[in-house]
Amino acid sequence: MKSISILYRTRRATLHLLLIAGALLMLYPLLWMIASSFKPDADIFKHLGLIPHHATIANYVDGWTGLGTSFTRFFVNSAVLCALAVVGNLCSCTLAAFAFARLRFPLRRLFFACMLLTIMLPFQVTIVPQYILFRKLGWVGTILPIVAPKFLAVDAFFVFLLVQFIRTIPRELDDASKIDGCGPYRLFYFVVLPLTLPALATTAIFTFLWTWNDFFSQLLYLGSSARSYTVPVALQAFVDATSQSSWGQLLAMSVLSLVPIFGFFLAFQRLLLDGISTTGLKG
Amino acid sequence: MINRRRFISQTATAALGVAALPLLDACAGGGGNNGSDIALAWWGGNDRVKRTTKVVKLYTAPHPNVKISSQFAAWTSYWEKLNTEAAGGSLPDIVQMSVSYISDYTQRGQLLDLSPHKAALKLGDFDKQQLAQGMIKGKLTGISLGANIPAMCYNSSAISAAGLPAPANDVTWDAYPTYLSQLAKKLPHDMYALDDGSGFDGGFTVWARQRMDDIFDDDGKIAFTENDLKDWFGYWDDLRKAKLLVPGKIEAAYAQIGTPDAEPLVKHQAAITPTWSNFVSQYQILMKDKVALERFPQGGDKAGDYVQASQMFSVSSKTKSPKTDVDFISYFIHNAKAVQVLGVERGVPAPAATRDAIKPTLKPYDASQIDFYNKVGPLTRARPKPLPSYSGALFDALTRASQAIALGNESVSGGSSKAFDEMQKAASS
Amino acid sequence: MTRLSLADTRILKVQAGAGTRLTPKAKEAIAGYVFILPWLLGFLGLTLGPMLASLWLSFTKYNLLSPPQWIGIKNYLNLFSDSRFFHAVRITLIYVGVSVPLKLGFALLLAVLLNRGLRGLTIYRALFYVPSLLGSSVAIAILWRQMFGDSGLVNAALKAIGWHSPPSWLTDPSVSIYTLIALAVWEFGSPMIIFLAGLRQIPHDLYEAAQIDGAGRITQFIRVTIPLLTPLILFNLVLQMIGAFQAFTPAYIISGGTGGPVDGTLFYTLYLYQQAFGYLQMGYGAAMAWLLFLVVALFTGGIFLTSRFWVFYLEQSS
Repeated sequence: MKSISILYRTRRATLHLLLIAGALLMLYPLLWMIASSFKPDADIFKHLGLIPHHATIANYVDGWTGLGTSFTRFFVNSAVLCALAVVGNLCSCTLAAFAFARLRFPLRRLFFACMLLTIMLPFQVTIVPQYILFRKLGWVGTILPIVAPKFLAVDAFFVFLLVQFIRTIPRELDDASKIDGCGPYRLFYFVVLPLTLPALATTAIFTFLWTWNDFFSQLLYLGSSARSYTVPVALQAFVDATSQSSWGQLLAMSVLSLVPIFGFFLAFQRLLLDGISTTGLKG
Repeated sequence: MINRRRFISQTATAALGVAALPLLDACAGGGGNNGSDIALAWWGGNDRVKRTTKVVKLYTAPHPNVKISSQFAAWTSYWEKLNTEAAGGSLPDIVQMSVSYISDYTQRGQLLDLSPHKAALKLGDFDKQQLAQGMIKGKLTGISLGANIPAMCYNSSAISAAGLPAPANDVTWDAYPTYLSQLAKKLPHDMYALDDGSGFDGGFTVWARQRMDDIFDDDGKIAFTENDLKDWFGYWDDLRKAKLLVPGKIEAAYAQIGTPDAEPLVKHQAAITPTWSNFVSQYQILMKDKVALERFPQGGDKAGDYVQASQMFSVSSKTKSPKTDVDFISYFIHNAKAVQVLGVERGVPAPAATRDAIKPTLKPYDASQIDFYNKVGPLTRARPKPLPSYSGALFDALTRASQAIALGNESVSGGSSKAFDEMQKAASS
Repeated sequence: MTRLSLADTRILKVQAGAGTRLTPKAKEAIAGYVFILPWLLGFLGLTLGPMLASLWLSFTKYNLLSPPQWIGIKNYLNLFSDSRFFHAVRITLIYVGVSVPLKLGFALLLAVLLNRGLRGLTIYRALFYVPSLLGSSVAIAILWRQMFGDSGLVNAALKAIGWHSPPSWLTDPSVSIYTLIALAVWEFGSPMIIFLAGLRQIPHDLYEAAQIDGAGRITQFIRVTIPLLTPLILFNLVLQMIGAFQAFTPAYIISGGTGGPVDGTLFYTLYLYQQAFGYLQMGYGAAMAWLLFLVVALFTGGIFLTSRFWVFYLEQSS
């Protein structure tokens, strides 16, 4: 008995050791970034260690107002945009995914193929026609070009993800609820949706992250005045090859920019943890 | 039953309203100082952001009816956005413009001809070379915000520590290697004499223009030959073989970062670097050693260097407020307070009065740009012709070939031949 | 006219409806369209138009500053005599072929390891996801260059294990792509999260049943975990492959937009971007985009066709 538990413990310990080593490898760039944000500009490229020689918080203080408009504004703009994007995707993508995964309707396969095809065209060539389209609609200068597509399930990535998740739910549950008199709407809302919480959490996390970092669309549509800039647009204004750059301020603001993303991730990852217990649904 | 009286009064109001529309329009945008909403766009780092937004505030304070919203981005993002907006027909009112694109933009009708506004712009003492570079096919579409000249920027502290004089301003390409090898013997171990300039568009242009009129002929086609490229790359390769030049690996590492702080000169890996004159300020800010400017080596039978408008302001052809736009641009380049704030951050100002006004207020490294301009400017040969639209692709091919040869991936003749093919292809597309 | 009471009207309506009740199949079809409506609107209104427009642009010469001019298939023909184009294709194929399997491999491995109910699971999961959060930031660009530089961490580690003259990762065009592959694999956190979510979705009773049948840990893994994970393996495979073909930002930030050194990191979409926005050859870029589209669609279609042999959906079980 004792020898087994020692073997088990050593195995566990090695696993932990490997995981910690791996985690450090993952973390090192983040640690470097945080450390460098406390170094003056000149030191950032000279001393590459993790401990600043002359620690300073100047980068944070100066960087916050370094572009004229305060970063508070940029953070608020980004937060609003991302929140709306998350809501939009959660609503529209789940609806579409349920239809593709569970309902039969004419042209379903064709639509599914179309949906997947939309991911395959590089965005660089649709930027210009889309810009012209949004100009005609009068949406340039508003958040509509970025938010409206989220409410119309344009992110096929998430539709496909949710389809795959829904298809892993046994049909028996569907049949059981149908016998109980559930139509497709109630089936969606009361049965399928709760069972896809991990996928919903994933959708929320990724949507928030990708919208937060989606710099060019925001530059193009929201870039008409510095007051409407979002965080990534503001960040890229710190460094330019043809004139003086402020690496320290850029790093400092980038570190701060990570805080909401990380926070959102931590908040939602609990949902990834909750497993599905199907035992309760039997009988 | 329609009430006749109401009908008439309603129609009358409607008619008045319609008739009043042009007036409203004029008030809103076109009339100049009656409440304009101007979009101003530029590229540059956050030092430029600070200075420019300060000038915007200075301007709008006494002009309360004018609202200026600023947009800024780094160079590549700026052009990606501007080109997209141009496609959609919605350029900002005032845009910062580059010699690489001004010809295209003007010929496609995107920019306003500012000739009717010459008086308001007060171009009397404006540098003639820069003025010409803003004139495309008879239209004045670009007002230069500052000039630079291709120059040799050198670390004067390191060179005097090596016991040598600074590079002479009339040194020839042929005599240069002698000077460089004397220098290399005395420099610290990991500092090379010269930074690799074989991929520098300004450098190649200067060298070529010492042998021919310009690298582009009057029809906008390539005026140099593959042999010219071979001579150019061959010269630098000889220096490289003699260990007088920063090796390819270091160059390649710098090229990926691209910002001044990664420059071999700044990192004490080179004593002299070919670059644009306005970079002397950027380098000096980053270095404890003193840096200074000197003229490009001479050769051929003509002067090859030239004054270039490093950036210009242009006005969108669709602007609703041309008078206000022009007023702002004029303020930007002439107003005493504004030009002090701007300094030489965008290059040496074009109006002579502005140069004289700001020089006393500048830091020494900034003032050295003006000194260099005053010294070398008159020796240069004007370059009024606009760059053709494929010039970007052409210089990219030059840079790539320079890297390939420096890293040993291509021979001088192989690399030149490949680059020349790519350039021809770009010229004909 | 006699006026009906409100109650009477309601009774009449119900009675009228009784005779025209829809079949369940029709009801399902209508429900399908109701659910799909937002997507359909988005597709027809916002996506399809620009996609078709870009297809049309690929047959034009378009410099963004003036209207497009029709030139037929010239763009496509020019691609075939463009050596940089072929170079970009090669670089991208290497990137897809190496980074996707490695990334998915690590993602699956770590997801399985972390799903064992370890103490500190939440923390580990967050830590392994951090690279994906940092992904396209400037800090990564700086750090990556330091790490892969001649005197950087990577070469130091390689020398320590006996490789005496490791390549110059950043400045040798033939190996610089591997720095980007390393960057891609380092960000395996995203597919890992998806696998983790999927692992959590596998019903516990299946494992219990297998255990009762005498299956050990490894057999459980092969017989229960993997098959039930295949829908997400398919998902990650398809999307990571599409993502790798379209990869842009890593090369953009690490090479400073140049695709250097000497086009060593010239991703397909980076070259496309240079042509379209840098040289104002949007028509040429559109042709490149549609060629990529065809290739990706073919690969994806192929994967889907094989999927019926290896992907197992629980919904199909009896």
